[in-house]
Amino acid sequence: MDDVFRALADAHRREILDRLREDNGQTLSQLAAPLEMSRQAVAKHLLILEKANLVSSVFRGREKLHYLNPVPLHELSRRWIKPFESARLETLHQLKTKLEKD
Amino acid sequence: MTPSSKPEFVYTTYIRTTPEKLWAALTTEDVIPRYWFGNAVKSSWDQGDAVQSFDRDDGSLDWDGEVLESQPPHRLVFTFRVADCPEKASRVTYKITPADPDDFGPSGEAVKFTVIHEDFAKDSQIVHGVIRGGPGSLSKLKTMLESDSHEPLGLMWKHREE
Repeated sequence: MDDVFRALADAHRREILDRLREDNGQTLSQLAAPLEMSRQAVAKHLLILEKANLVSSVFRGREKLHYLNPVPLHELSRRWIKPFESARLETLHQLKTKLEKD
Repeated sequence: MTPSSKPEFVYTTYIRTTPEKLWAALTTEDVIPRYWFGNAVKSSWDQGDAVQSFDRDDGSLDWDGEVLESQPPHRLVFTFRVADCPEKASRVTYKITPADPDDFGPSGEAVKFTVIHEDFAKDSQIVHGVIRGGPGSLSKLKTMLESDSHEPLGLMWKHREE
């Protein structure tokens, strides 16, 4: 679990996860292109994310595709959020989203 | 490679169990409903055979498919077609590999379980529902397999944490 929090404690790594959420299954080159980071830096961050199991990957031919892996985050939410709370929390979230848009 | 040929999602979890026990949990008719939305899945899991999943309440067909590859206890590939949806079948792959001992230590055996779902129809109507269901089922499966272990991986991965 420490790995997950350490991995998430970095804005660059959260940005990589955001990019994968927008478009899952990207190569290192695709991920590095729009980010203001060197390819080596992105590779290093990806390794930390993979070690924490927040990113999983598959090979398609020579290409390694990276995916946001939500399983550890699901485990975290199961630990601190009771099942019946999900609906209430979603309602709160919708309210917040709506009010902040206005 | 066209963009549509890449998998829609790749989920990975680490479970403190053996490949054989995980394979059995994935392919035993009575065990599957304990983590898979309560629904039964029937198949011999031999290559070329049918896979059928039935609704737990009314017994109607929920989804079906065909076993494309079966290599117990490491690799299972089958097609997946939702019964009430005219879309073409997509494809599910289960990969079971030993977890890296650097991460888990020599004391406990753990497996890395990867679920890949790909080849959905273009603009698929079902893909989002399928993606939402995945992590919950994986969590339940993990909890079930580790429930009689003295040293569950708990929130995941490394034995020395937690």
